[in-house]
Amino acid sequence: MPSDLIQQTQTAIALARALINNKLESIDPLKLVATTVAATYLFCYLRYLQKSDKTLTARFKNALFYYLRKVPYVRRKVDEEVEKVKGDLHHSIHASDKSGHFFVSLPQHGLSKDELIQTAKQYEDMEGPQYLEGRVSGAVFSDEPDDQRELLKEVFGMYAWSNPLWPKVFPGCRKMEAEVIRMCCDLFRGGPKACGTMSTGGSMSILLACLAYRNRALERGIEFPEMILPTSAHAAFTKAAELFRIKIVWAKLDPVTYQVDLKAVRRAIGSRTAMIVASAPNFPYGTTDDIVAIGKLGLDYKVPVHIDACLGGFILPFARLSGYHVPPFDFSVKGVTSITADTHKYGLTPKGSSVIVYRDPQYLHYQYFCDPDWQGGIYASATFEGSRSGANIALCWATMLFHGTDNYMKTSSAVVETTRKIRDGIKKIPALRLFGSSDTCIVSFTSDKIDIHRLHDLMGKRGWQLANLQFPSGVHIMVTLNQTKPGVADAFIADIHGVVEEILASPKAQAEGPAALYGMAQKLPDRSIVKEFAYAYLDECYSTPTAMHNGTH
Amino acid sequence: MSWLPSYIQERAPVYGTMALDYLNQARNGFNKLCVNLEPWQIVAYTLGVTFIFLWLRRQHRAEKTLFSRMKSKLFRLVRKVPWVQAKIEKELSKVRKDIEDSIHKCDRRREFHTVLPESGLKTEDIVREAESYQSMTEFPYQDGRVSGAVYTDEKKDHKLLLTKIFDLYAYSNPLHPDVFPGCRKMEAEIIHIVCNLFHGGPRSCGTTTTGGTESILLACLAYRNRAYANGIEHPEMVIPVTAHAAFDKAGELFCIRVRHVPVNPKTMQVDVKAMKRAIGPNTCMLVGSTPNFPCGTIDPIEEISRLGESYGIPVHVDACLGGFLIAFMEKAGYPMKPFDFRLPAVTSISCDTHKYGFAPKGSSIIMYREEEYLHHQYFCIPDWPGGIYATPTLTGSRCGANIALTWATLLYYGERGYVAATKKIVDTTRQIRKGLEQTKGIRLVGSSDTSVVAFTSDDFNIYSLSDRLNKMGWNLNTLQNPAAIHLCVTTNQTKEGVAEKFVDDVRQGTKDLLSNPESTKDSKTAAIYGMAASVPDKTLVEDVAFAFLDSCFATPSLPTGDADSHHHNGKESKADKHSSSANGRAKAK
Repeated sequence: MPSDLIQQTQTAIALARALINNKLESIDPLKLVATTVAATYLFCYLRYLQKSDKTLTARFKNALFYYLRKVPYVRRKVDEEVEKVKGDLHHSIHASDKSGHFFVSLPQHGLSKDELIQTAKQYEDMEGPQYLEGRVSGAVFSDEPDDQRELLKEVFGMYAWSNPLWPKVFPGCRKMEAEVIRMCCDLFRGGPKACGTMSTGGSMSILLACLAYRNRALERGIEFPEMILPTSAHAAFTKAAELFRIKIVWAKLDPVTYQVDLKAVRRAIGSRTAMIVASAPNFPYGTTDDIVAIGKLGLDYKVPVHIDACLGGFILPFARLSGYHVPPFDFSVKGVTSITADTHKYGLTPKGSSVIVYRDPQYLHYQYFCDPDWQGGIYASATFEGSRSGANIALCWATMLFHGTDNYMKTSSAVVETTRKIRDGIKKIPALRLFGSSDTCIVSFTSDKIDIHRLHDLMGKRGWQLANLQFPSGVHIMVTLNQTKPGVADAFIADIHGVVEEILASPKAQAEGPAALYGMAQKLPDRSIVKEFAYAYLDECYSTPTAMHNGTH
Repeated sequence: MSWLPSYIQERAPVYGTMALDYLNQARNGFNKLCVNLEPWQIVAYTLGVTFIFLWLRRQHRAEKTLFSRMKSKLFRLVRKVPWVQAKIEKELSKVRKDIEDSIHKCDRRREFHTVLPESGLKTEDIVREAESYQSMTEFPYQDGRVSGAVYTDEKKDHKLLLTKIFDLYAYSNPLHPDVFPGCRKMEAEIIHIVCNLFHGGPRSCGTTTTGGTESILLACLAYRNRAYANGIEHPEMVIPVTAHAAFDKAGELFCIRVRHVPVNPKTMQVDVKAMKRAIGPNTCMLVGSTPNFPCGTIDPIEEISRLGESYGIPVHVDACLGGFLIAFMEKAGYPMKPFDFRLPAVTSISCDTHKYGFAPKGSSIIMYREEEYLHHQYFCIPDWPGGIYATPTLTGSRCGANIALTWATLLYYGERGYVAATKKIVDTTRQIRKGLEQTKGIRLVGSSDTSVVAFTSDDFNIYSLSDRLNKMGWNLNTLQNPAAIHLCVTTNQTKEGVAEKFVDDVRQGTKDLLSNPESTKDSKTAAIYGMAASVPDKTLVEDVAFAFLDSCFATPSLPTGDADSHHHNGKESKADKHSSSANGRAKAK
C-alpha cells in the first residue's frame, strides 16, 4: 500500500512538473524570475496587511477619507461643521464658570493657605449636576458619608508623599498594597498563587492585562497577536489594541440577552489568539457574559480568559453572599486567568484606584517591565508608572477595612434592589424596550417608537445626567449609592414617564445639545470627523478662554 | 531635448543603443546561466530566495533585532536543560529569600489583612494601624537621609492646606468635566501655568498625568502615532543611553525600535555626532534630558534641536527630574542655556510636578508646542456602543484630587517660593560636589548641572561604599554601566548640617575601604550588580528584578509564631460564617 501511494505521488509530482514546465517554457527565464519576485513580494505584503492590527479595509477607508477631505469643498463643509460643534462644546464646558478668571502663569508670590482654600471652594461650587442627590449616572459611587471622609482625611495626611516605588522608604505603603491585593484575590476566590497589582483606574488595569497577554503571545512566537472582544466590552480594550498593536477580532452579541454570542467567540479563536475577554457586567448594557462557558472555551483551546469586572467586582461577590443568584464569574471558573476590578467604583474609594489580579504569577510576570541595562540601575516596575501615588493606595486600603464585608453586602444589595426597581418601572412603559436583563447595576434601554436621544436631552433638562449609547442608540443609568437614597428611583421613573409622554405629544421636535450630536455623529460615514469632534471636546476641556497668556487674576 | 548640449544630442542615440546592448547582453548572460534549469526550478528558487529576503528584512525592521531575539531564544533553551534549571533555581531561590528578607525585615509583626474583615474596622483603629505601618520605615527621609523619593520638606502649613483641598476634591474626576467643572478648570490652569514656565507660545498645550513615566510614555505614543499617520510602518526613536528607562519601556509597549546613542564618558552629555548618525528615514523622535537621572547632566539641547530642525524630526525634552529647577535657575542666579520651547525644534517637554514642584506623588505634566502633536496622544473610538469615547491620557477615570493638590501647591509656592527652593537645592548640590571632589578615592561622574551628584571610585568597588553608607542610614541610588552611585538632593538635604554630614560619612567610608580593601567582598549590592554585569543572559537579571517586585506584593508570615496561626484561624472562621450566612439569606428569599 505505502509503496503504491509513493508511486502515485511521484507520478502526480512528475505530471505537475511537466505541466508547469510546459506552460513556462516559452517565457524568458529573466521574465520568469522578475514575475516571481514581484508576485511573492505582493503576496507577502498583502498577507502582512491581513495579519496586522490595522486591517486592509481600515487602511483603505482611512486613505479614501483622507484624500476625500483634501477636496476643498469637502474640507470647507467639514470645517464648518466642526466649528459649529466646537461652539456648542465651548458653551457646554464653560457654562458653569461665570468668573472668567484663570490662573495662566505662576503668581509672583504664593497665595496664602486661606485664600487657596477659599478659591478651591469657589471652584467646587461651580454649578454642576447634583451627583449627591442621585442625578448623575455613575461618576461618583460613594455617598461620601462624614465618618469615611474624616478617616480619609487622616490617612491622606499621613501618606500624601508616600510612593511604593521605594518599598524600603515606604514599607507601610508597600504593605497596604500587598494587603489590598490579597483581600481582592480572596474576594475573587483565587488560590494561594493568585497575585496582582493595583493601578490608577479601570483603563489602566485593562491595559495591563492586555499588555501581559500580548507579551505572552509574542514570547510564544506569535508575531501578530489577536484578542477576541465582545462588541460590548469597554473602550479600554480597543485602546489597548491601538497602543500595543493587538488585532481585535470582534464577537457579536446575542440580540435578545445582550450577552456575547458564544458561537461567535468559538469561531473567532485561532492560532494567533492571545486572549478572550468577557465582562461582568459590561458598561453599555449591564449584562454579564456567560463566563462559565467562555472559561470552558479558554480551557479547551488553551487561551487565557480575562474577566472585566471593573464595574461588578465589588457588587457580584457580595450579592452572592447576600443570597442573590450570581453565576460564577471569578477564579472559581477554571479557565479564567485574570480579573480587573475597580476599587474606586463600587469599592467606594476615592478616584484613582483599581486592581488587576491573575490566577498565577506566570501571567503577572508578563506585565512586569525590566530594563536590566539601564545606567540608572537595574530598573523594574510592576505597572505603567514608575513613581506611584502611595496616598491612593492608603486610601483604598483604609476604605476597604472601613466597610468590611458586612457593609459591602449592604451597599451592593441596595444597588441591585434599586436597579431592579428602576428596571421594573421602565418595563411598564410600552414605548421603551430594555437591553438585556438590567439586573445588576445598570438599567439600559432604547425605544422603537420615540427618538431615544431626545429622551436623553429632555431628561437632562430635568436635571438627570444619563449616558448616551450608540450602535444601537439607547441610554442607560448606572446606579450608585446616591441613587439608592429614598425617593430617587421613584422620582427617576416618574420623570421618564413624563418625558416619554412629552415626546409622544410632540413627535416632530428634534433633540438638542450633545444628544443631537449623537444622532448626527452616528450617521457620518467618515468616522474621523467624529474623532475630530471628540478632540475638539478634549481641547475645550483644557482651555482658559478669556484670559489667555496675560498675567494672573 | 533641445536644451541639452549639442555633443550630447549627437551622441545620445549611440549611448542609448550601447546601453540597450549591455542590457541585452546581461539578459542573455542570465538566461544562459539558467539554461540548465527547468522553468519550475527557476520559479521555485526565486520564490525561496525572495521569501528568505523578505523574512530577513522583517526581522531587521522589528523592534527587537534578530540577534537579540535569537540570543534570548538560545538562553531559554539552555535554561530548559534540567541540570542548568536546577542550578539556576537554587541560586534564584536564595536570592529570592534575601530580597524578601530585606524588604520585610522592617516589619516585625508580619500580621497581614489577607481577607476583607467581616465587619468594618473603627476609624480610630484604621488610623492607628496606618500610623504603625508608617512607623516601620528605617529611612526617615525628613532627615535628608534618602536620595530623591520625597522632594519637599512637608511644611506644616502646606500639609494642612493639602488635607483641606483633598477633602474638597477626594471623589472628583476630570473624566466628567460637566460634573466636576472645578477640577477641569484646575487642570487647564496647571497646564497653562507650566507651559508659560517653559516659554510655550499661545498654541502650547498638554495634559496632566500620574507621573513622569506616564508623561514620557505619552510623548512616545504621540510621536509613534504621528509616524504611523505619515506612513512610517516601523518607527524608531533616538535616545541617549542616559535617558530614563521609561523610554525603553515605551519602546517595548508601543512597538517602537529604540536606538541608543552613546554619551561623552567625561561630561556624560549625549554625543550629538553619534545622534546624527543614528537618524534614519524611520526616526520619529529625538530625546534629550535636562538633566538625566543617572548623573544629573543636561544634554546639549540646542544642538539636538538643530538636528531636529534640519531633519524635520520632533525633539522631546525630558525635564521630569529637573523641570521645576531649570525653569527657575536663571532667576536664582545660575546662567542657563536655552532648553525649552524657545528652541524651534523642541516639540514636547515632560516635567514632574511631584518632584521639585513639591506636589504629592501622582502628578506630572506633558506639554507640546502645538495641538498637532497633542492630538496624536489623544485616543478616541467613535463607534463604541457605550458612547463616543475619548480620553486625553492613558487612563479613563482620573484622580481629580491629584490635580487639585498640584494646583494648590503651585499657587501656594508661587514663583518666589520656587526660586528660593531652587537656590537652596542647587547650592547644596554644589557644596556636596565640592566636598566629594576633594575626597581621596572618589571620582565624580558627569557635571551635576542641577541637583544630582554622581560619583564612583577607581580604587574600590563603589557599591560596597553604597552598602556602607546604607548602614549609616543613607539611602542612595546605584548606577551601572559604568558602576557609580548618586545622591539626588531634595529640600530635605538643604537642612542644616545634612550636606556636611554626608560628605563626612562618605570620607569616613572611603577611608575605611581604602585601608581595608578586603571588606568590599561582602557587599550584596556589589554581588547583584556584579552578577548582572557578568551574566550574558539578561533574562536572569530580569528574574531577580521580578523576584524583587513579587516580594513587594508578598505577605509572608513569620516562620513560626502565634500571630500567624491566629490570623489563619480568623480567616477560616470567617469563611465558614460567610457560607452559612449566604445560605441563610438564600433560604429567606
